[in-house]
Amino acid sequence: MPTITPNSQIDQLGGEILLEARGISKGFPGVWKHLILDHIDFDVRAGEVHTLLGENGAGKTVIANILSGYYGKTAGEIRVKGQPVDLRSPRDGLRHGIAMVHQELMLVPAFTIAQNVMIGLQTSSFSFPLRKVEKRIGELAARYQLKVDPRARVEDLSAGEQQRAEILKVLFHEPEVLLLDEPTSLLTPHEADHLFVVLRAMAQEGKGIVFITHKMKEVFAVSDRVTVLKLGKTQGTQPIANTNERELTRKTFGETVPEYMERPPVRTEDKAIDVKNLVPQSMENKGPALGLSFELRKGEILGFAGVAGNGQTELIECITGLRRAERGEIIMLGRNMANRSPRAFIELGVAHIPERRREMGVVEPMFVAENVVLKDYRKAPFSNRSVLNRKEITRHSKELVARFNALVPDLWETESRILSGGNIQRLILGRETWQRPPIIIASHPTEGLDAKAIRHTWELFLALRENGSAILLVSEDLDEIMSLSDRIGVLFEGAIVGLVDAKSADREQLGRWMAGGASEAGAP
Amino acid sequence: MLRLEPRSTQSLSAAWLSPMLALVLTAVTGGIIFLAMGKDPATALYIYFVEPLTSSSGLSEVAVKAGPLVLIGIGLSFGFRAGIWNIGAEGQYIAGAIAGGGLAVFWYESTSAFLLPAMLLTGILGGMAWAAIPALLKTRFNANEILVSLMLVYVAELLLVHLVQGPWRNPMGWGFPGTRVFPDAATMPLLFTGKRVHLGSVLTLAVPFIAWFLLARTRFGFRIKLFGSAPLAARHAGVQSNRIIWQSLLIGGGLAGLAGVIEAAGTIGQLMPDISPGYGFTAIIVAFLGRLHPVGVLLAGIAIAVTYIGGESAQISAGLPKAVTGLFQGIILFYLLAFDLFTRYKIVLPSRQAVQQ
Repeated sequence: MPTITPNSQIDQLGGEILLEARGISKGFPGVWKHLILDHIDFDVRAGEVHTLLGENGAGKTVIANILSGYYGKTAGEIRVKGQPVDLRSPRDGLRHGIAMVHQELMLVPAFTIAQNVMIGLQTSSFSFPLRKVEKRIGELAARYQLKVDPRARVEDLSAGEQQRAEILKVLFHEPEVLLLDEPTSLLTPHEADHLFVVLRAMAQEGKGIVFITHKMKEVFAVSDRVTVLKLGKTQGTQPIANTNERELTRKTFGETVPEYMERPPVRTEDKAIDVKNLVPQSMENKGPALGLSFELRKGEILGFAGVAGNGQTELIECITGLRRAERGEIIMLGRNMANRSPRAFIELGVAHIPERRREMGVVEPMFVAENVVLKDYRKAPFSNRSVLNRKEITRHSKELVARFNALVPDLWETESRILSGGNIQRLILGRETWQRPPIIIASHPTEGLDAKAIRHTWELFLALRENGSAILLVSEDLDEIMSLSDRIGVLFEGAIVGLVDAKSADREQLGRWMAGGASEAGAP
Repeated sequence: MLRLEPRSTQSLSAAWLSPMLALVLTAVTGGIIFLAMGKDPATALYIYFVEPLTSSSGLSEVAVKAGPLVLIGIGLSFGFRAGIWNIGAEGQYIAGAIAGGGLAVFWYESTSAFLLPAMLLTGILGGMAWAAIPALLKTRFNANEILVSLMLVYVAELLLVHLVQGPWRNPMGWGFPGTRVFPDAATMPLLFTGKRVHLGSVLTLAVPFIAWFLLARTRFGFRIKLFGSAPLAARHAGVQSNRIIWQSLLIGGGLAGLAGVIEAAGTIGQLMPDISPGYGFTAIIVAFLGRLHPVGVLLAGIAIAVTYIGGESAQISAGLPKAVTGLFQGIILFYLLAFDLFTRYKIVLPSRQAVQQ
């Protein structure tokens, strides 16, 4: 397998080296014994999109954070246009023209988008050019067609909209080097394609773009060069023209993700969920007047695709008891559960894998073992007559952590805040599914997992389906929806547009529905 | 250069060492201040920190002082852990003293053995009733419990003044504000003759251990921690927020009320306008000094009590001003918060920074 070192590429690519990393290493205290980054060489030139490819835990985010000044490095050197620099803070990074768009959002929820942009500006204490900033954001949004309202409060935005805001916030600084950490994770395929056009345009302007992804298709859609990271080590850099999908896949994952998961047909017509004319609170004037209606049979997987902010959050919260239903019925296992407490849903056997895993899925300051029994602590054997049984909790946690391959230093000493997103997701998956619940509401269940873990999760879901669980899958990831669902619906502006059999589903059609195209397949 | 790095796990040794180190540095700083004031630092420090703990009367006074601080501090730590900011423990303390003491005022000639237990019970209920007001307003109207509980302190203080100057005034008291002196049946039995330490201290000593068990070993404690650490996740896990708000406020109020009635029936022996030297507020510091851990709160309560008693004897025997007590409490708090850093972070020496190949 030919690997080409960056140095031999200089003549071919021409552009000035804007940012260069030499022998960057990083060790985090306590968590893992090995280095997170092991002597990484990396550079980005003016006019190119350089993709960092790697599965979760490969160190992509860490190197981006080091290059933009968010993290310190343990060893190595960073050069900007050939000059060694010492980046001690993100502000240092911005001063050198390096900006980063984070995967996890860095916005103050109570502020508007414009106010969030203002935080990062170095204006004097007496000037507060909010109107100007709003206008400029409007211009940037128009230029890059990142549709947001600068005056909208971040907490009112969907995850996808928040990410657009995050990108705009960084673009405001007119960086020369832009690092984007998995920016497409919340975008529709159309939006992602659009982002690629934007990134290409920015590269054309002479910016250097570092694009981080674990999705193979995106690599070929946008990159000039690609560097593969695997477990903190670089697998070499090469021009995109010199490689192919198979080679990169082998370097990244070692194995491939299946396209479609075969499974026997749904065996029963028994309904596990029957939602009729549901209007979630705060959706009264946004969604359709008649509300949402859909059915989910026992042993069936129903996938809801759609761009964030089209009613997914509201729907999920309603059918887990976290949000009031303004109107309509939620029949679960024969009982009307509308406006029952979250506890009632848990007791009925409704598992919920939430979207906001760090805020809702786990309690970050609490220990791993405590997080494992977050919902089950009430029941025997984990507690008897209101006294907790630590021995049982420990035994159970140990088993669950092992079964779901979560990388956890210690059950009773490790606070879950220090776990990586992927490991947190493994804990949540384990906690929510170990009892084989009759109903599972899963929001982005594999986001942040590596290919191997994704496949394990999909297999787990199919096994649960086989066992009779009804699974409602809400995901931005069309691949996941298409390979896992029995039926697929698309949520757009609070309504279900199109509800098709997964076997006859067409990616293009789903993409059009997600972008608001009218349903051609008739009424759902 | 030294660097700080976040700890991945909590360090038990750091959690215990940092308060010790804080105490040592407080003593050093105090010594320097005494030196600057022209006093012999060794003697002054001895009077301040050691003397209260060497004599039996000193110990007795420390126990009397620490009792209410520990009781209230533990009650508050339930709420603070749950993220419920009850800062009106002073009012709940007074309400407890009024409710419990009221029984002694009405049955001032009673000799019944049931009077004292009944007083303790009504004292607890009184404190709970006072704390129920912010709980009700918070759960019904989402009113801020910080403001409501704080403002109710002044209501309780004025109610007490009204009672002891008006309807409950001692008819044989020559017009001084204050109720009748409680009968023997309504007074905490003394543990030793000639000392002020009473049965209340023994009751107080049991509370931290009960509280520890509740917080660390029961579903109730789990819920408190869960709710305080991540309200969203708590909702996801089916925890009812109103229940936690009620429970944590009632526990805080109940223990403050108990402290109030114990003080009235023990150390003071009657109701009068100034039954509290600000115990309800100082207990907030005690709760945080003790890291909201029941045993920590017990130790913190004792430490703060020592500074009170030491301050008093320093005034008398060393001629130090009263302000030194406040100064010492400030210095302790400062060092403790400063050293708190080391429970979350550790120092990395340059040699360990090098990358191991």
